[in-house]
Amino acid sequence: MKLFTFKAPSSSGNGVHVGALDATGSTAVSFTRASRGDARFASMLALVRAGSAILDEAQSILDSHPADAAYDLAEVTLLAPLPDPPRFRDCSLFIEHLAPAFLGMARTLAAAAEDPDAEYERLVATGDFGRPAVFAERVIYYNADHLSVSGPGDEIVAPPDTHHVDYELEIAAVVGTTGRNLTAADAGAAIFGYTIFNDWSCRDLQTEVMASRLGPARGKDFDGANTVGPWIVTADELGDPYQLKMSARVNGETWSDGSSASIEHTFEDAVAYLSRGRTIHAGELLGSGTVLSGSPIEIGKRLKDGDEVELEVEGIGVLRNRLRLSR
Amino acid sequence: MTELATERTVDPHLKVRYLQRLLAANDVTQALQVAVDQIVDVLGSDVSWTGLIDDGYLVMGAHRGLVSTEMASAWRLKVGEGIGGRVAAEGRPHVSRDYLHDRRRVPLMKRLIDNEGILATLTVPLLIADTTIGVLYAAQRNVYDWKEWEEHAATDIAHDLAVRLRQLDVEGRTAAHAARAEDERDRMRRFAADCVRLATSFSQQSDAGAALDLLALELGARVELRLPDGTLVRAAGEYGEGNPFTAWRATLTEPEGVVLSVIATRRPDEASQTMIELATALFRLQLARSTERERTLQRVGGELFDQLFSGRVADAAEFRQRLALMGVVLPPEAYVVVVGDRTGAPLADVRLAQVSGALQQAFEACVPSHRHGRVVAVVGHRSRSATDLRRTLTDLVTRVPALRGAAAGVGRQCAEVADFSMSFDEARAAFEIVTSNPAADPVTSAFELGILGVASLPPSHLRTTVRDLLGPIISSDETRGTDYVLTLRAYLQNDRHLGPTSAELHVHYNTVRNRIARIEDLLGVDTRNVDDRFRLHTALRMHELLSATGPAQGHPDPR
Repeated sequence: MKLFTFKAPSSSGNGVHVGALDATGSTAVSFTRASRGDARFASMLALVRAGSAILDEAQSILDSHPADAAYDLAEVTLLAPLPDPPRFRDCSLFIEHLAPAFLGMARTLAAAAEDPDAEYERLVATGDFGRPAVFAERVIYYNADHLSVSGPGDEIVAPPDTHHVDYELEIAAVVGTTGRNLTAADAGAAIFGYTIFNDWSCRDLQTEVMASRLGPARGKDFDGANTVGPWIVTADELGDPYQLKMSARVNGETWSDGSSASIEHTFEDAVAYLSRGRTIHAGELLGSGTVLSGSPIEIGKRLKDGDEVELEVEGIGVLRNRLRLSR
Repeated sequence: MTELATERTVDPHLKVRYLQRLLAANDVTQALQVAVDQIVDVLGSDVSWTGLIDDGYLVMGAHRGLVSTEMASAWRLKVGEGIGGRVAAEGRPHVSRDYLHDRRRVPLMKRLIDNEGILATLTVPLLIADTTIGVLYAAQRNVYDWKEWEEHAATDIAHDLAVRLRQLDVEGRTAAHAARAEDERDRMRRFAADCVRLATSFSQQSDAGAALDLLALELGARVELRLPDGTLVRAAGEYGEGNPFTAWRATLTEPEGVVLSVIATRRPDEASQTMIELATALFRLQLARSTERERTLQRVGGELFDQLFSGRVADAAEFRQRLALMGVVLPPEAYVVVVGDRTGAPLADVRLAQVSGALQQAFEACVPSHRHGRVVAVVGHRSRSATDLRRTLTDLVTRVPALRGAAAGVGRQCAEVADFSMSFDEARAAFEIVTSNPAADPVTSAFELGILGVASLPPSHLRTTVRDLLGPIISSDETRGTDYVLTLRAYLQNDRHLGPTSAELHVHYNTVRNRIARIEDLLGVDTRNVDDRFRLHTALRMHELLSATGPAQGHPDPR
């Protein structure tokens, strides 16, 4: 099932609904409306927290729903499918992207120097821009800002103090179970579904603050910096999440081309690791980290004001946004 | 059994009246209503409704006897599921004596039926040949054993209904076909009229921006014009409701690389697509036309400005008159300002237009012209000094997007026509000094640089003066790597105080003292003498000016 949050057309009184795509792929069926006020269908977070049994009920509504709960997909406004995750962690599940990304950041830093090539070599020689071994040994993550979530079609307005914004092509998993000490075997069942994640990053700010070794926060926490969507594909429908083609287009031109097959740690590994001696909560989002080639900094390209960025993941869909850069 | 069925056969009058009413029905809804009425009249059942198949689902067509509005509006069943769905899929009637305990029901429909208080149903398919087009229900609000004659009667009613529906469909299709053809003709007529209206409106617009507004209005979308580097030149219109995306993008050839995008929330249909293409073509034409007009004005105006900036104006009054004929009025209390790229590289045509536009917006009176990749503007500024104007420009360069990355030089205030050429020389010289020094403020005035007057001197004169006054120390700097010019400048700027001078130069103050003694010796001057100091100051500024304008190009003639 493809589950999403949407705003109905104003001609039908607007209102935010949780729903799914019907078999035709062109109709949005509102569970919120069809269930006539059932609290479990009031929001995506409520739906995820209601447990996996609710998916059977959802399927039954999808199969035979009242006529007034169906909307033409082209008429509705899709919002972030899960706009209010209780926690959002971005993990380094793909680690091959890190080396070129770190070197790209060194290149950016060195560009301001009098002799950029010499400065680049000096920076690389410091060893600070290599990929530490710990990324292969563990699931490394940072806490992304779960209050800065945006959705499909949203304009991503960069803060005025940046002039270098990148997209990052990622998948995010939605945790469906609250629990502790989940084993890797349990972890599969604990994943509710998957969506596309664009981890917008202000490289100039990130490079500055990462010198502190306290994470990329300032570079990745502006309003709307974490875009997810266009919908959550339930784990049963998506099948194997580690055989998906992933690509990114800018103004229709393909910039990034990768595959989830190159993942180093699986989402199941991440769930098991994150729940070790700690509670993991239903509704949490886990980012995969960027797939190789999944960010302009790795491939020597740069986004400009007005660019339309489309992230596509096979079996999930296309997440499309436009970037607004003020300088 | 047969006897029983014959005994309880349907009153022939009722049947005849049913057929008459079916034939009188003009559309599907009327026919469906006639059939459900007949079910209630003939079978005496509490409720009847019918569902037609639409896109894999049975949807409510007509009903009688329903008490809840929810059932009437929300009843919808997937073909193959639930009782009605199976009747539709299998094409066979179905009876349910006690619906409450029938396990084949679909959860949501179950609730609707239970709310309605229905307990027994008789469901028959609506068949056209082998194809099921819907189902017809008879229902009771109590547990009920359906009789065979009732099933036959319902099947007959369904059969007659299906025949009439097919007739209506054939008639309907012919009528719909004619209506579609008429619609298509109407649409094409409207489309042609729209195209004419659009083309007419475009041709009446004198500036391309208004044409862009018109395009956005026509499409109900946002339209953007951007430079190749993404800078937004102009936008018009709103996105509208839904998820916006770039529905159309065209790269224009004139001005080169400028991108026109249409951002909409709906994929345009064929007619809108054609309209966009037409509008884009018209817009291109519009842009080319206004660019051409700009160029003509620039060319004619350019000749007059050449005279103004080169000081070749014989009759000031007559000159002002000619400018006025061009629509140009020189503002009182004017300054000449030269604006260009911070690196000194010439600006492309599009950037020149942007910079001119930004200046015209910022100043009440501003007459811009384009010269060698720079904007030379005559700016009216009612302030006390060039320093004030410099501050205003500095603010603009940091704040206004079109002016980011730009540098500017300000010349003297002009009272007479004759002043403009000197103000221009000074503004240009100030601009050159800024661009030759990456650490300098992006905006400076000739007044602050102390080059008023000097800037208008011929370069050969400047070179001779500099050589006469500073020749020995320049050649020492060049051949022996000394820092005499730098030291002398710092020493004079620091009012001959050794401490601040040595701090600025990061050398010991004894080093400064020794260097100054050597400089005085080489040049044959005494820095304690005020006349010598004045000459040295002047020569240093001339030297700075010459270095900025560059020895190779000397004093390029911008005129």
